[in-house]
Amino acid sequence: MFDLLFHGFSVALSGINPLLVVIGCFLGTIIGMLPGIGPINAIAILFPIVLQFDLPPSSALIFFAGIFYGSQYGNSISSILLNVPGTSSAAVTCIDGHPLAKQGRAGPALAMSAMASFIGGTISIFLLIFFAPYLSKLAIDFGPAEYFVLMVCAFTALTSFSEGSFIKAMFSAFLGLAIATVGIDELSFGGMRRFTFGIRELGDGIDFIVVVIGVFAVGELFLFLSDTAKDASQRVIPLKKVLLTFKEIKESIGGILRSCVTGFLVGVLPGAGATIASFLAYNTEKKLAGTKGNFGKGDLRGVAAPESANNSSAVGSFIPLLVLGVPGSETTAVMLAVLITLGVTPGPTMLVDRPDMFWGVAASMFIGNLVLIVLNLPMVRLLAKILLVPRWILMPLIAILSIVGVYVINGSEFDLILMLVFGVVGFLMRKTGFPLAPLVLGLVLGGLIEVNFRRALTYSYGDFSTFYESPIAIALWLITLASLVAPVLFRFVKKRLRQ
Amino acid sequence: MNLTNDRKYAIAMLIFSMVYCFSAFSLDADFNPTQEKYYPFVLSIAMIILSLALLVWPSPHTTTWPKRKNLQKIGLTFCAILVYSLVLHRVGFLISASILMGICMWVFEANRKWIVPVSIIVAISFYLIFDRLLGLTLPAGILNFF
Repeated sequence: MFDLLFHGFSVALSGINPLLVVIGCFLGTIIGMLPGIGPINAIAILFPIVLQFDLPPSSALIFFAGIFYGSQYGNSISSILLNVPGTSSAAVTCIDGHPLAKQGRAGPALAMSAMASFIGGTISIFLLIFFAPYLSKLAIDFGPAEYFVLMVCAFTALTSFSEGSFIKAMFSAFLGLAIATVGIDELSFGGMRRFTFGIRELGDGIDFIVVVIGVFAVGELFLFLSDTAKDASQRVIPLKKVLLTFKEIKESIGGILRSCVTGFLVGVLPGAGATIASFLAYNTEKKLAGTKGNFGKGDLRGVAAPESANNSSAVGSFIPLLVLGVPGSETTAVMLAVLITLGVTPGPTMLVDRPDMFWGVAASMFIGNLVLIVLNLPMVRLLAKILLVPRWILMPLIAILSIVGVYVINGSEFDLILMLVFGVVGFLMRKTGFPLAPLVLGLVLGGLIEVNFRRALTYSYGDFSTFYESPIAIALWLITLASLVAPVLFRFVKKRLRQ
Repeated sequence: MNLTNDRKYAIAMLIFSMVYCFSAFSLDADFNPTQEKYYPFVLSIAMIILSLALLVWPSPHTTTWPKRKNLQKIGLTFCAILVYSLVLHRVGFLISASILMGICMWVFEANRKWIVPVSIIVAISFYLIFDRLLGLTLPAGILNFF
């Protein structure tokens, strides 16, 4: 294992990669910090631009991974100083972080957040490199049928664990799959055009990145305009010394370590992500502290737990992506789409086929965490100034950047109109309570699901029993069933307990 | 039956799914699981079932639609992006992006005196960064001497 990790470091430190780690982490911190733009928007908006540089897949992934876990560091800065979470996974950090800032202890709160993020992030990388090779051994025997069932399993888990109505989440996933069927069919000899309605530009299919930028960046713009919340940039609490005492560290370290493990496990599960991880970690620590804690009124442990959890869950979510080739969240779904565009065939043999990618990314995370602790401790006072940028300049800038990004993919005006249409779709879906994560997952995996479904049936001469013949497939169906039943059972038990 | 928010959406979903189902069914291919028609057809059936399920079991979700003033802002932004998309090639990036930036800033209630200078500076810097520095061609349009 250590020779592989050593190889990973040689990938992470070669050529332009160290620079990409630094830029990714820096951008990630800023993006995490700014409310209204999260890692998924940033990755989608930057992807067309990064594509122009002909980077190898491992370098692109190192860069986007840096943005992703970097954003989990930065998101607490606005939670603490503004009481507005930078991304939803830092919502829980507001509960204790902002009261601390009001008491004039913003410095210790930020220092604690940075330290917890660093410990959570670093330990979870060890967990990642320890567990991933074991899982990849299981994945060797995967054929098209098993891969198809694995994707069905990921979908079910994602939709059944998402908030709100299960039916709506499921419909959202199917909508994504349906959008993915538009365009020329790659499997048939003639290359049949499906659902193009005579529009020539739809022949190449709908580019997922156009949909993602539309749904997230443009949809977000409309969502921002739909409520009249005041610009918060004027309420930033000024910052004094960013330091912790030894006693404060000693008090929190247990919680940080516990939350790191919780966060990692939650991150590995499809559907549950950094937001759930941080809530779970916070509630656990609050219960453990009992009456001795000052939770909710400004307790440093209430900052430490969620920050450790959301960072380690970000690292954990790379396991399904890089080991099985199935993303468990919307951000990793976009990363998978990036890899597909760069010519990587996703699947359960990815770790064996492309060791440079997995080990390179894992090694780059160690470097990234060191960069991030420097950015978030000594330089946090400088970074916090970015929160003073008013919204009337920030939002239009993001809008222009995403529009330029969509245009440079194909240089086509049609893509811009498509982006706008999906912006409206994204806005309406969010307003009407349809989750967007299943849509993105459906869109990205749609092509693969159809290919593997049809290929499996071609191998079996149309016999459907191929989908439940192997022990792996049966096990996956059982997991699928369990993930369907679990939330229903959970709700039932909760109801009973209340009565 | 009470027409809740979710039931209205279910009807919209049903219409969409049926259109998709119909277009899948009218594809000119064999109805064989390995052919191009079967898979989208299965998807559309699942979508129809889901739409009907939501009609029967709506969730207690309530939608709060934006106020009239905010709707106007959204509409204006939508139109601005639409016009930008349609005229980009003819007019060029610099002019269309400055106008779009200006409208977006106005919608986000920027100080009036800042709108014109900031949007021109932003458009020029984007053009310089993307077109000149990164080599990603943006249409020059009527200003192609720049």
